[in-house]
Amino acid sequence: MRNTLLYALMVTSALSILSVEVKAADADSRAPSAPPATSPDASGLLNLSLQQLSDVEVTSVSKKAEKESQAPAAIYVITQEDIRRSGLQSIPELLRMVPGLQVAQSGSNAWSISSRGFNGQFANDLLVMIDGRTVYTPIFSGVFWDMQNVMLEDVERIEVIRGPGATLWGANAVNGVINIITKNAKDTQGTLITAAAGNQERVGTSARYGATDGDLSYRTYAQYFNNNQEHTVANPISGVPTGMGAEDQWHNQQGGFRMDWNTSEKEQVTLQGDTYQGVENTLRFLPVTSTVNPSLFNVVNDTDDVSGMNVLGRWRHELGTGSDITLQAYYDDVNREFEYIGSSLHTQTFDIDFQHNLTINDRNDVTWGLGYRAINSDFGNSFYISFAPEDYYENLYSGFLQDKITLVQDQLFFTIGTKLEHNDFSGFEWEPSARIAWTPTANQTIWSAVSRAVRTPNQGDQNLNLIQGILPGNTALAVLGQSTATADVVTAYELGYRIQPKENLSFDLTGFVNKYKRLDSSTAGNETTLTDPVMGSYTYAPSLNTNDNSGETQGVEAAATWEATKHIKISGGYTLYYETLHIVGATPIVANGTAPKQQFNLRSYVDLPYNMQWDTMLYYVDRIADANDGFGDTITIPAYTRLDMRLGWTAMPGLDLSLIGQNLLQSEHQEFSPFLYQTPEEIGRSVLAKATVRF
Amino acid sequence: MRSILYILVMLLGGCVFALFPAIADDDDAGKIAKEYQVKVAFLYNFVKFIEWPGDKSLAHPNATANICIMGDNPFGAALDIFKRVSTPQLTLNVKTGVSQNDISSCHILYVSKSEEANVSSILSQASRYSVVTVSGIKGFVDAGGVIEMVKVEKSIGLFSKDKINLRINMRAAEAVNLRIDAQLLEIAAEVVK
Repeated sequence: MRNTLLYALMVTSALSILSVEVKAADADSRAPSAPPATSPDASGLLNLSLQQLSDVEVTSVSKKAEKESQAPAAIYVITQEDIRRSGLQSIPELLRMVPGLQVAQSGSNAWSISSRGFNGQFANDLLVMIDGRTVYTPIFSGVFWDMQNVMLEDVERIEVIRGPGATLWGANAVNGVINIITKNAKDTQGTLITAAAGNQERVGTSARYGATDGDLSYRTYAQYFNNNQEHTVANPISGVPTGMGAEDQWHNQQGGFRMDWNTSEKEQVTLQGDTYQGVENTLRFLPVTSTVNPSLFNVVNDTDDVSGMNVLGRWRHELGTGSDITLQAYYDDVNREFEYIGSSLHTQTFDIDFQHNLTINDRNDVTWGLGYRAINSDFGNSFYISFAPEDYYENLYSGFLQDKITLVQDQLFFTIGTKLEHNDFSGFEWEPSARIAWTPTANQTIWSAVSRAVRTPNQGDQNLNLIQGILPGNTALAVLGQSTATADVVTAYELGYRIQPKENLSFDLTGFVNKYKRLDSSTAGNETTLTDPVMGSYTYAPSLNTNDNSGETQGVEAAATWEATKHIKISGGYTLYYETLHIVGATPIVANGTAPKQQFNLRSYVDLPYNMQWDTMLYYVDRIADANDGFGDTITIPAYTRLDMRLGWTAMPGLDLSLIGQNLLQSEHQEFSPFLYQTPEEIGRSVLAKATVRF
Repeated sequence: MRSILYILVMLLGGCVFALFPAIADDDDAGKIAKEYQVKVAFLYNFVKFIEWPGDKSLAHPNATANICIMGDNPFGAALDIFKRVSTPQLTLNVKTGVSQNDISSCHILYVSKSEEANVSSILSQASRYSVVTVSGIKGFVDAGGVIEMVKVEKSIGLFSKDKINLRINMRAAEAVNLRIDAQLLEIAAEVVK
C-alpha cells in the first residue's frame, strides 16, 4: 500500500515537472510551417552510398507511433521465422522460448503452461487467444492445449505479453496474454502441402489452398496427425511394471477457412472458422475402493473424445486520421468426453466486442471498448468429476478505457486505463493500470507499470467436485469448490529496459514484483456419508476451495537477439523466478502451482550454402522442488537440458525438406507432474522428417 | 481498494494534461513520404551504376538520361531533385505519364502500382528496348522486370524498421544488353537469374 502511494507520488511529480517543459516547448513551435516539397533530406539521400541507402528507415509516421520497441509492457514476439526454423510442430512447444513462461509437457497430449509462476495443467492466470478468440476453458480454468491445433505455416506471429494485460483483455489475464495471430488470407495464396513422419512426434499431413478475387482473399485448410508412438510411465509406482507404456496415442483432424476483404487501408473484414475432431488415449490412475486390493489406484486405458468448431467475424473501419473502430463477434463450441471416467463437457461461448481508437488534441491516443460474453456449459457428471449444478450459464459484461498521453513527442508517454467487468460470480471488478514509457534516444526505451488484475472465480472454483483418492475403509478424498469463492487479486509492479546498441543487436530486460491476495487455498471441510451405485456407502472428506493464501513473486526476464552475420542469427532468453507464498492449510492439487527458479534458452539459425539451413536450440529448465506427483506426495522434478536441431534444405524452388531432432541429449526425462488422474510420463528423444511443397 | 484510488488520482492528473494545446504535429500529409524519397535516390543510383548499350549509352559528354514514370506519380515533387543534380555532362530528364509508345526513349521506366494489371504487356513491350524497368509491384522481377524495389521490415527483437530492398533480375537485364555494375548487384537483397 505504501509502495503504491510512493509510486503514485513519483509519477505525479514527474508529470508536473514535465508539464512545465512541455508548455515552454509549445511556445516555441506554435505555428508549423509547410515543409518544402524537396526537403534538404532529399539531396542528402543522393550522397549516400548504395549500402547506406538500403539501410535508411522509411517507416511511416503512423506506424512509428505504435512501435513495439516503445511499448510499456513485457512483450515477446515469436515470428514466423522462429516457427519455421525451430522445427517445432505445436504451439505449446513454441512457447518454450519465451522468457517468463513456464512450459512443461506432462504427457503426449498434455502441457502445463503459465506465465510468472503458478504452473499446473490448468494454470489459470494466463489468457490465451487465437485471433482474438479465447481458448481458455472456464470450467477448468485453463487451456486444453491438445485441442489448439493451428496450422503453423499460416501463423503470422505469436505475441506474448507477460504481466497483467487486464486493461484491454480483461479478467484472467492476470499474469499474461498470449495471442496467436494467423496470416491474412492475402498472404497465404496458392497451394501448400506438408507431410511429416517421425518416431515419436506427431506424424501428419496438412494442405492449404488460397486464392484472391479482387478485394476478397480466402484460404481453406485441412490437417491430420496421428501420434501412434507412446511414452513410458515415469517413477514406477507399486503394481506398475518399470518401463510400462503410457498408452498415449492420439490422432486429430482439423479443417477451416479464412476470408479477408481488404477493400482498402480504411476498411477490412475478416471471417474465419475451424472444426476439429480427435481421439486421445490416456493411461489414468483412478482411485478405487480398496477393501481387498491394497493399491489405491486402478490403472485404466481411458479415451478422450474431443471435437469442436468455431466461427469468428471482425470488421475494422477507419473513420478519419487516427480514428478507427473494430467490431468482432465469435461463437465457439467445445466438446470433450472422458470415456472411462464417465464425464463429458460441452461448452458454448458467444462473444461480441467493440473497440474505438481515437486521437484527441494530437496528444491523447484514447482507446475504449465494450464487450459481452455468454457461456453455456453442460457437464455430464460421474463419480470422479462432477459439478453442482451440472449445467450453468454465465453472462459477462466488460468495458475498458485507456488513454496514452504524449508528454514529450516521440519520447515520453504515459498510459492510464482501466477495465470494468461484471460477472455472475463476483459482481463488479476493477482492473486499473498505469504505465510510463520513456525513449530518450531512438534506440532505447525505459518503461514502468503498476497494475491491478483479477482472476475471477469460475465454475470450477465454485461448483467442482473432484475425487482425488480413496483411503482404505472407503473414504473418498475430494476437492470441492465453494460458491463463496472470491477472485484472486494481484498488484503487479514492473520495470523494463530495451536497447538496440547496434543495428544488428538488441536486448530486452524486465523485472517484476507481484503481490497476491486471496490466492486459492484449501480448508478441510466436514465429512459426510454418501452412497454411490458402485462404491456403496462411503465417507466423503472434502478439501474446500477457499481464498486464504497470499504471497509475493518476483522475477527477471531477459531476451537478446544478435545477427552476427547476414547468415547467422543468435537469440537467447533467461528467466529468473522467486516466490514467497503464505500458505494457510493445505493447497489443493488443483491449484498447486510450481515453477523452476531459472530457465535459459539459446538458439542459432545458420544459413549454409546450397540453400541449406542448420538451426540449433538449447533449453535449460531448473528443477521444480515442490511438484505434486499426482498422488498427493511432493517430489522434486530434476532439472533438464534439452537440445533440438533442425537441418533444412530447399531442394528446389517450392520444395523444402527438414530433418528435425528434439530432446537429443536425454533418452527420457519427466517435465511435470500430471493432473486429472493422468500417469506421469517421461518425455524422450524424437526425430522427424518433414517435406513442404508450395506451388 | 487504496491502490485503485491512487491510480484514479493519476488518471485525473493525466486528463488535466489532455487540456494542454496540441503539439506541433509531424505528419506526412505535407511532405513526400520518406519511402518515395529513398526510391528517387535509388533511381538516381541506377543511372550511375548501369550501362546502356549503343545509342543509349551515357558515357559521352552532353548525354541525357530519360527517367520515365508510367501511371500515377507517387514521387510528386521529389522528382525535382533530378533537375538540381543535372550537369552539362549528364542531364537527367524526367517524363511523367508516359504511354507504352514512349518506352523506346526511356533509360529507366518506373511502372507505378496503378499499372499493375498491365504489367505483362508493358514488360513485353519494354523487352524490345534497352530499358531498365523498375517497379514496387510485388513479383515484378518474377514477371520479367529488371529491378523491384520492395519495402521490407527489418526487425531485431522488438526493434523494427522498414527499409527499401532491391530484387534484381540479371537475365532480364542481359537480354536487352544492359550491364549492371557489380556494386549494385552486391547490395541487392536478391538476384534472380
